[in-house]
Amino acid sequence: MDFSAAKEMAPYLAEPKAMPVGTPGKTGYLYLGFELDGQGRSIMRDLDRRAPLIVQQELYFDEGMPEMPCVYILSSGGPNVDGDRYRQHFAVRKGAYAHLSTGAATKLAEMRYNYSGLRQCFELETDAYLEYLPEPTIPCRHTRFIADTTIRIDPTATLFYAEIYMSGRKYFDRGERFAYDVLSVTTQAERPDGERLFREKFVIRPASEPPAALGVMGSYDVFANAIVLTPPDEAERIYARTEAFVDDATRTAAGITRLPNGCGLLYKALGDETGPVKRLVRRFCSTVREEVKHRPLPEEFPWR
Amino acid sequence: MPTPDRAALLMRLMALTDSAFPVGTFSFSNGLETAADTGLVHDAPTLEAYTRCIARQAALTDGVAALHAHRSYLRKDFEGIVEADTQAILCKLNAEARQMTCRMGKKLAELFTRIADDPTAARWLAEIEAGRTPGSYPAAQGIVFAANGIGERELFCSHQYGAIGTVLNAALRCVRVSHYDTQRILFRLSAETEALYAEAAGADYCDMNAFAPQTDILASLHEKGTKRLFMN
Repeated sequence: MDFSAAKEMAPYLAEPKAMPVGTPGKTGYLYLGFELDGQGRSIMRDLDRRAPLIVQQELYFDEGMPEMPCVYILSSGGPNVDGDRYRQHFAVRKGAYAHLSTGAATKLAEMRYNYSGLRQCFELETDAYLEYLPEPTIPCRHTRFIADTTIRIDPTATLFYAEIYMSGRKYFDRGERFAYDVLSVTTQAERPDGERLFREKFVIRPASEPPAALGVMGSYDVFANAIVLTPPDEAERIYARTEAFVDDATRTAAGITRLPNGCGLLYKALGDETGPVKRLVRRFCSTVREEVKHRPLPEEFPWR
Repeated sequence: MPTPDRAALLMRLMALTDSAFPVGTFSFSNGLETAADTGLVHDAPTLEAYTRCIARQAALTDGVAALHAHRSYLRKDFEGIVEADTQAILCKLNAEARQMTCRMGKKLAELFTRIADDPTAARWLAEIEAGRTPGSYPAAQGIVFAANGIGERELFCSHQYGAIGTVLNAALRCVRVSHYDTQRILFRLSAETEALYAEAAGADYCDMNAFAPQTDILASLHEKGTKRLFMN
């Protein structure tokens, strides 16, 4: 996995002392392919995985859409540690649909030598539908993390892709807020014919540019980014139904805008704690599902 | 175009940077209108923090695109200018900001083709009018500055001056600050520009980045709102 184009990771190229980059168990791989079977049911046809990433099987537990295969991605390694590299590939073929999440928050451990990298690819064919709604990511002190996501999507398909980042382990020890070294997140999308749609990159280096600044994170601790790639009519209905607000009482804020090239929407939310932000993102995902699949998301499980 | 002498270069740099240069900067606030309306920006220190945030975003997105457009012009690479324009739009995720950059970019191309005879600028305007390229402001700035023989550091500074000036000029109309405050902020932010230039000058398209969720949410409030003094 080559992240050498990312200049922001250049200071962190030493070999980890515990286990070198590329050691089995440090290079996770996941390939999930969803398609319609002979009876028209959406199933997980392909599953290829390498530790520490684990997926067992699809389950049909979504009460709002019982025909939807739901998959939790787990990691046997616990947090992402120094020198880890993960590659994930999700394919949703013609007319198929699926819901992906993680079993727990993704912890990014403290790193001393190298960094942790994630490369993801989403492929959505005609009329495909995918919800990617993982638990939040928690960057610990001195973590370095790069995520590079590429989306290839047919104009008729819909992808809901959300990420939630915390400022850190804010209640650990004397509190860790933006104590990490670097967080670099790039997400870009294109059509199957190669037409480019948008690219979002953010690089957060708290030591040189403090995120707790006005206009950046302000005094908030949790940040959510949700990308919705969907046909224009659906996008307009979702846009019209989604409120932009700053609520001082609940200490949350959210906004939505239209992405370039008519490809969809971008939703952002801020808050002090993960609970309210997760609820906002889930409510937004429900709006997307209602407008595209005409069914709402069920209530979240009480233990999540 | 004949090569201008040093005095003419300087005069043109000042004209292109002047907030009175008629590309419509006065009708935008770079999101300040909503930041002031929500009370987030309410005095000189909060205005300074907000303007610094805008300056950094501008440097590492549009600033990078403008530098690449400028370099493409100098090596007679028209497709390179188109690519700089495309990249500026791919990374411009806020809809009103996209509209603003395209309006100003087209305006600048129109204006320049009327005041100077430059075949690249004329071809650029034709491409915009035919809908073959979005026509962002940084791409047009790259062309116009290069056509005038103005260097890329000057282009970058002019670009930053524009981004900062848009916020500060709007601030005089919607925040309780004085001319002294805004000039003091401009003076301080000017001293931070060299570091931003160093970062932007070494950046490829894949390095273009921005992180300002609070500003993005304010932009969305403006986009969805009905109360407005400025276009963004």
